[in-house]
Amino acid sequence: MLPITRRAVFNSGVRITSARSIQSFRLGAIRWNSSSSNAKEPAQTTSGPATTPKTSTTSPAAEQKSASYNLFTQIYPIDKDQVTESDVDEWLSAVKKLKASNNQNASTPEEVYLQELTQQAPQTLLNDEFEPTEQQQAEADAVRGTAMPLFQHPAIDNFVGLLMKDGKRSKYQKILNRALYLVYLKKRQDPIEILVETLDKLGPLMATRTEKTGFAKNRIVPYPLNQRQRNRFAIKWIMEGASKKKSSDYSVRLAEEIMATHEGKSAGYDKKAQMHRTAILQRSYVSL
Amino acid sequence: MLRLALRQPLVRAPVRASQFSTFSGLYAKAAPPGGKNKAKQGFGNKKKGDPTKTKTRKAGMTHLKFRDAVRQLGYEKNAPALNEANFALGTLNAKALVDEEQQQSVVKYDAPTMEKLVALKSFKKFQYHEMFSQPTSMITDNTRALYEEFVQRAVGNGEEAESAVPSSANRVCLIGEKGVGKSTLMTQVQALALSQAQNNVILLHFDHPDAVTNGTSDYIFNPKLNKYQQPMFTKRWIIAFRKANEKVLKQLALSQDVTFINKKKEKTTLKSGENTVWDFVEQNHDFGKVGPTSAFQTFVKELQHHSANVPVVVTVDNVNAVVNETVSKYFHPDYTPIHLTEFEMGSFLVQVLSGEVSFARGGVLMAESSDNSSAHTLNVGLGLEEYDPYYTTAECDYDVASGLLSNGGLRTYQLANLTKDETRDLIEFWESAGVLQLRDYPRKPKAGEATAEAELSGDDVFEKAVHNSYTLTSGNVGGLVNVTNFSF
Repeated sequence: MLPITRRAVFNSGVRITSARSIQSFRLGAIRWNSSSSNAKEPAQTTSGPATTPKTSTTSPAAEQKSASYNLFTQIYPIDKDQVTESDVDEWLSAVKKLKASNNQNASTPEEVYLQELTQQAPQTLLNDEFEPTEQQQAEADAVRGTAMPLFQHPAIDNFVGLLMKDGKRSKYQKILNRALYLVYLKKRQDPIEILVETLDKLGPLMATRTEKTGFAKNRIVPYPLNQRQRNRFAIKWIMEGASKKKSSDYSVRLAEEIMATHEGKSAGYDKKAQMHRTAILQRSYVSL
Repeated sequence: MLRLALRQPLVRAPVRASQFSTFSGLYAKAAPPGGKNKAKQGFGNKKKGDPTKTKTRKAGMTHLKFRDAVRQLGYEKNAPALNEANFALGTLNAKALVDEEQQQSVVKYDAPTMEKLVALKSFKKFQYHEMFSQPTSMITDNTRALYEEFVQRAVGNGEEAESAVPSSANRVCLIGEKGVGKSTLMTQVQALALSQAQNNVILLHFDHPDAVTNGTSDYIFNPKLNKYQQPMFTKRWIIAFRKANEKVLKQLALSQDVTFINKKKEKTTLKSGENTVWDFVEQNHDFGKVGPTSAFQTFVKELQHHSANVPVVVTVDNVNAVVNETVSKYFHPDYTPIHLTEFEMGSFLVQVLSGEVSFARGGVLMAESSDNSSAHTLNVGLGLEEYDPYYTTAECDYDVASGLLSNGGLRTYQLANLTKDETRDLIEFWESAGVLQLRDYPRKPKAGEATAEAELSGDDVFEKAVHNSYTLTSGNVGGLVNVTNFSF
């Protein structure tokens, strides 16, 4: 495995020889630096490397152009195919030598480049270690052990999911938000608490399913519902009740039905009672 | 089979030369059997059902849509009263604004001012006033800036009433992003003008001036004025105006004799010096007359006459809706659209905005709305944008824009969002008023638990709410309401 520095050399060699990157670099240079030498270049490039498919090797003209924006290529014009192990070793030895010499008075462009390369900053950036401050550490300690917060309350999430049509979640989220705002205005309590309470009141505890016996009479078997299943029934019944309200605005109808259900006036309670009645009648089939 | 046969149509198209005719009688259904029982045609033959049965009505409180429901169903009555026992809220007045000791961030309006502002329809839909028992507002740097820049120039600085300037020289337009509080600031300015002038000020307010051009009113042509009049719109506006300014108008004597025919078809003459402007606007029903009338012109003249003593403050909300769309939805008899300035009210609006109609003391405050399409007329008129000669009239009305630029031009005031401290003050008030629901982040319920438990811990949660709200909205008040009350 090559050291990081060696891989960097090869990567940079490939990047330089790519015509596409040359093109984009040059366009960028024109936009931000309107010097005459750069401004003349796009006319040449449009008919040059961009149109020719053979872009794996660097033409001398392209090298010359690339030299104007990249200090590295200005000093070390690299051709990917011609780079050898000895070149890389030479380059690395030059870096090591410079590091050892600790020369602060760079005069030539080569020295400036190598000096910048041997600064400590790039090395620290390569280092992945992160040391949090005391404050950050304290904050992290405070929340350690607590569960990851959810995006929104599970009941709201469930409700919006059941309201939603055609995948338009934000539309139905807005409808429910408005409905809960109306609930708040009327009751002056936290509407989420009211909603959760309402769903808990309305949601049935048991449902029944039909089991085939293989002979004349099928069995109707009661089974308990979990929280999400209970909520599903309750939400569906609230939606049904809301559809019978007067207003043409869904949020207003929904708010009215939620409030009515909270007060125990919904038709959903009859359905819940009927489900419980059926379950009780068939209690002999409960399998434990 | 027999039944099926009986259900066959009794009349069948005869096969003859006339079968090529398109006469529909050939394909008419057979008359229903039953002779006497056949349904009669006409409107008076409604079948009377069982009288014991009552008409089934759909359950529910209201037929209204959300926007109207929150406004009209009186939800503010459920809110705790903003009285001394609950909240030590001050009232918005000029004295308290100047006095540093009395400065409070959130204030309410005093009862007489509230009455006037409600009459003027200054409190608009979707300002969420139903959250509280009465409208509140927050004093910010915007309020203080407008007080110094506009109110003091319009009404005068305390005892130095003569320091007030004509309305043509005191025209300001409020600009800013949606939800920043332009309409609220306009309401604050009205309240401050009333308190600064000790109610000795006339307020003219247009809450939705686009009603002039949006095709919702009747209109007739007045050949004498060469303008179209809108009786229904004018009448309603005058009723709101006189309700809000009753006390002032009762103090202003008419400057000229006015004769008109009142509701009972009796000729009425109001005499100058004896009768007041209130008598004129209250007794004169010509504002809503479906016929040419000069009542509104007389009304404007009276206001101009008295403006030397009683300042006139004109406030036009949603101004870009009317200025940017000057081609109305109404049509001339030759089916060409009528221009804004061809209406009596539209012309008055444009003249006031451009300073052509000026009041000796007063000011014109307008606010743009963020809900309208962005034509260029207002921006060009405010000097924020250069006129492009390639603009069509729909894109930029040159005449209106140059009118706004005339008489010294308008000043603009860009509203700033709340700072973080102001945001904290506002949210603190919401919390004390019970509007804010502080919840911990929802977490996944553990097995056996019904819902996620809320782990509230006092100040931390409050500070987190402030920080989150401010980060999400950059201190935009409309955004803050959305984040705190419309996000579940």
